[in-house]
Amino acid sequence: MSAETKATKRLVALHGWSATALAILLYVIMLTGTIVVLDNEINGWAEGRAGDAPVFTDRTDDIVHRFAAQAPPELHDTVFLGRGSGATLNLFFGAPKPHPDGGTELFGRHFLVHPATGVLQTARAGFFSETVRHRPEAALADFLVDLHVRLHVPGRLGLYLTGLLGITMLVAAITGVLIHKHILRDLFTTERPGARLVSFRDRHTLAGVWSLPFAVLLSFTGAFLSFAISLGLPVVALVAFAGDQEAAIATVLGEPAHMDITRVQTTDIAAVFADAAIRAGTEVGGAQIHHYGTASGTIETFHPAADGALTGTTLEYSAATGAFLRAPEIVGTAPSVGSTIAELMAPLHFGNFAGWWSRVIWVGLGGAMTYTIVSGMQLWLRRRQDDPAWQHGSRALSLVAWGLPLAIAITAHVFLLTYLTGDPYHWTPRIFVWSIIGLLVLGIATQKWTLDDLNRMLGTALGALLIALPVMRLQTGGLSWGEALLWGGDEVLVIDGTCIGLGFYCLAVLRRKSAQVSATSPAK
Amino acid sequence: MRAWLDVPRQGQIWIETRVDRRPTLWRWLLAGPLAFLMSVLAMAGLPTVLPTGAGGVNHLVLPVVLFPLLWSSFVVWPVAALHIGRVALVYVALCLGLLVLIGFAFAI
Repeated sequence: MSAETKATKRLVALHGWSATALAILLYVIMLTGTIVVLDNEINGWAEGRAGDAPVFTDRTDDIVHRFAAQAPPELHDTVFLGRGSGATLNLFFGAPKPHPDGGTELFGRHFLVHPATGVLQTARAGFFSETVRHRPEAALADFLVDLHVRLHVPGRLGLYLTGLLGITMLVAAITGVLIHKHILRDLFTTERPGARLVSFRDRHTLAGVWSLPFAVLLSFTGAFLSFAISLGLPVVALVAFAGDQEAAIATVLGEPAHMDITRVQTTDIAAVFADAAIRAGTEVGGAQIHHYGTASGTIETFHPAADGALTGTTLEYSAATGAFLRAPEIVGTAPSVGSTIAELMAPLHFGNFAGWWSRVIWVGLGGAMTYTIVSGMQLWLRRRQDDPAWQHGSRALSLVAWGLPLAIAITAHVFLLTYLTGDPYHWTPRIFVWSIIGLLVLGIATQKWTLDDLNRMLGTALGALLIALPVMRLQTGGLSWGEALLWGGDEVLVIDGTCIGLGFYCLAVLRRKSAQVSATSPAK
Repeated sequence: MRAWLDVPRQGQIWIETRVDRRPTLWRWLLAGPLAFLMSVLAMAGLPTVLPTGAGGVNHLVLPVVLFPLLWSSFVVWPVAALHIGRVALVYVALCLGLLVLIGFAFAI
């Protein structure tokens, strides 16, 4: 065997091992990542959001000043304004305070206010993450995002784990490019008929080759997002600034402005928002007022990406005079290559830069990558089906491949029930864990079943649960399709339609496989 | 003087001979823990040589952005390389160079 052939064999082994050794965790990350591309839409679907009524109106100024008068001055350090549940105005007045779980977080008073009438709907006190971010309709999407970002492992450890998986995926993609000698031809592979190994390989190759550039992009940006804050910045800051944190912060965020705590009347916020919308080319999505009511106070407005832009915009105004100050960079004090690259990482990973179109493409290619992982595992196991050490591998793969989406579907059903009863954040992760445990018990209890029977049972359950999900949403007080059509509830229609479509697809695939099995089995 | 000049050459031979004796073990080590170590050292050392740019942050952001690519490259290269001894030699040279850069950053 020549040295080149040996090198290729080693690369093939690295491709296989890197993709399969951590395949189950990669599958969790890929499937949840594909779903959470639509996290905002899932929130709108759960909430029954219809249309996009503005939360910032001419009354915003009055409302902010009225509630500022009710909050103690020490909580005027940071004022947050955003969209709350049920198209309400989310208002938070807070100041940094040590969090019991470690670190520092804003603590203060949170109000949900009707944006047109100014009527208070809810008032709470607590940390920012427990008040402003605690939106019952977001419990399911938040759970899936957390599973995707850190596999529910707390702290930096979860980020290191998902970052390592990102690197593993990147290695699998790079070695995939190196070992493919006919990459262009493989783009147009047609599946050979039958349920033989070659047809599995054809499908794996087709899905893998088409999603290869996307795999490189997603694994690269994903690894960056996991490691940037948890490892990269501390290491770079330690070396570049010899441990001087103040110098590091001043370089990355700019020198802190001179504080002038003279009390002054805050400018007309509605006028600032109107000017910001013209400058950014899109409406204000959220805002923060720093040092409210003081001469050195500033208003930061956050805007989603305008048409044709990849990233959103942040603008800064003087809160005392309403004068435009600057458009702050994500890092650094002036536009730079580094700041632009850092800013591009998130939209390229989330696919949220061109409305529905980019999201649909990201979901489609994410689905292809998820399929590549499952079919890769199938190939790996089929080649070893005569090996006693791997004889339970196919059953384990079926349990994982069908079980994860099944557990997510069960969790979604229970989330809708608990959204009605009021504590979805408590129940959503617990039901997921119990579903996984239940599936493991089922796997042990059905050891004598054939693999086809196990697949049929799991697939039918998944299909039925997906089809039933819109029914559950409707029965727990969700928006009807008629209301969604009349009032612009696009999210409800799209997510319901996707669930029903995927449910019927699962059932159709199982039906086709059953027909193939009965056609190939000997006549009785 | 001539003996001192010959030290790098002797070092090269010493490293290559030892690595080439157990290539599989060294491929695992170089593509595994040493690849991670090299990428962290590269991320730490690059800010000292990269230009700061107009915003004063390019030298900080680019190493962090490059970190996943560096790590993957340091994993793939020892596996793909025909002569693992040379890879080990480059890793040692890079490692020493990066440690000098990091030491220089702390010294000034």
